[in-house]
Amino acid sequence: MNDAQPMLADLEAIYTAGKATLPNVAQVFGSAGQCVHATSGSESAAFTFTGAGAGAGVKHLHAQWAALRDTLRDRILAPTQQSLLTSGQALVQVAGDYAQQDGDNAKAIKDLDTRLAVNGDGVPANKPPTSVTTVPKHDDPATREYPKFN
Amino acid sequence: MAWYGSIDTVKPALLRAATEARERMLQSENAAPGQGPGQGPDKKQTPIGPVETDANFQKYIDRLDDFTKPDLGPVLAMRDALGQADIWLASGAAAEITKLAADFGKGGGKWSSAAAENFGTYILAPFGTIVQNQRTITIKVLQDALDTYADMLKRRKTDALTIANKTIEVLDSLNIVNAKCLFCASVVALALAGGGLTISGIFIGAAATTAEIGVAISSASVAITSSVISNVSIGGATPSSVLSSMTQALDGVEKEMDAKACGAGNVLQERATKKVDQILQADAKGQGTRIPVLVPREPDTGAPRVTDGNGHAVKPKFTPPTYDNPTDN
Repeated sequence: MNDAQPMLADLEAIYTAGKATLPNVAQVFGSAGQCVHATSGSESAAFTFTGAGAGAGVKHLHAQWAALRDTLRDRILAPTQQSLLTSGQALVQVAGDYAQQDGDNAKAIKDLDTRLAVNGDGVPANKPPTSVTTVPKHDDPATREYPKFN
Repeated sequence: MAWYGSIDTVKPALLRAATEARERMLQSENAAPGQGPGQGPDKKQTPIGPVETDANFQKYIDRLDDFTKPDLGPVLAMRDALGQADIWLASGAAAEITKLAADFGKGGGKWSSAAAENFGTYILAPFGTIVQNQRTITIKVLQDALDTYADMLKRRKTDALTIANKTIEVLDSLNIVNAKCLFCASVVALALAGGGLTISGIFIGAAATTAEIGVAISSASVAITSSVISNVSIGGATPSSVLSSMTQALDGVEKEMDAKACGAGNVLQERATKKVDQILQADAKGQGTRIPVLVPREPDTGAPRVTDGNGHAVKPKFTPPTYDNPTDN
């Protein structure tokens, strides 16, 4: 296995992937998580009957549906987002540690960080998110609001 | 015969039909005093008693209000929210990761090390499949379940309107012959009990027994066969008894609705909730029929790497050499 020092261009690619690409993908999961959580705002009205109404069967269907929805939000989207973020942090750390072995490279990575923040170093998709919206948690307030994809 | 297509319009029509039937019976009784309903030898005939009041009619008719809730709006809003979630996940997130795979995957040129290879193998390469699986086993199933539920609610309302309209027919045809009101009846087959109601479940392809990554999973329709009431009867010899039978028929609709919902809930429980749980548990432990749904989990503390050892198959090499730690192994 070749563990040789990567070239500067390679370090920049590693850094960009960790600083921008993975957090941006993590943001996608945050938006998806907000959409999934937004079902909670309509849930009560959707499954509530009046009068004699429907009974245990509807409650059962509601409970199973909500359990699957909670699994999607809490056990799939949230950990996926978290893993993407920490993997991104790992890549940043990898690039930084390699760069520290060469003072010029360290400065180049620092300059790259500035350029990415401004305009993604010329590639809009490479601009890091200013913050990543985390996937809502189970006990977050119910809402009907969610981000729409442009 | 007019057909009333909403609860709001059918309710006054029912009251009109009930009061008109009562008037016909009164006129008939007045025309043949002593031989009216309940006063002749036929014990099946029912007298126009104190229950034949507008207020009592209205009490029966108001039972229809229960069928205006739940509204379809919130169900459709939930479905729209899930649709947006799916659009976000399908929006190119996987494609961005795939682009990285060209540089960092196995054989990629940007970075060569055990960590790089693990990153490429366990995160980048399966990511497209992971996202697809997430959409298939959860979002699609949740959306399909809401579609099925919406279909049930539509059928439930259709059944209520059908029953109400049939009740008007029965009231209008309450037969007054020689001042005697004969029993009139009608049978309504419930749309809820009809075929075609299905709900999606999760099915795992045969390849799951051998493949480690990229196993095909899919959702497919399962028929909801549970049924308790397939048709209801409406009838009576007086307006109030006809309206009373209407409320009993509406109760039957609710029982069928509940049975269908229970059947759908059972499919969700057995074919979705439990399956997803099994898939996630196997995925987290790296067990035999692993279907990738999650990317390897990062450690909660310490140096970042692909996994803290709770994940599947990934060795703690996603770190530069300076982070190698004997306790990691």
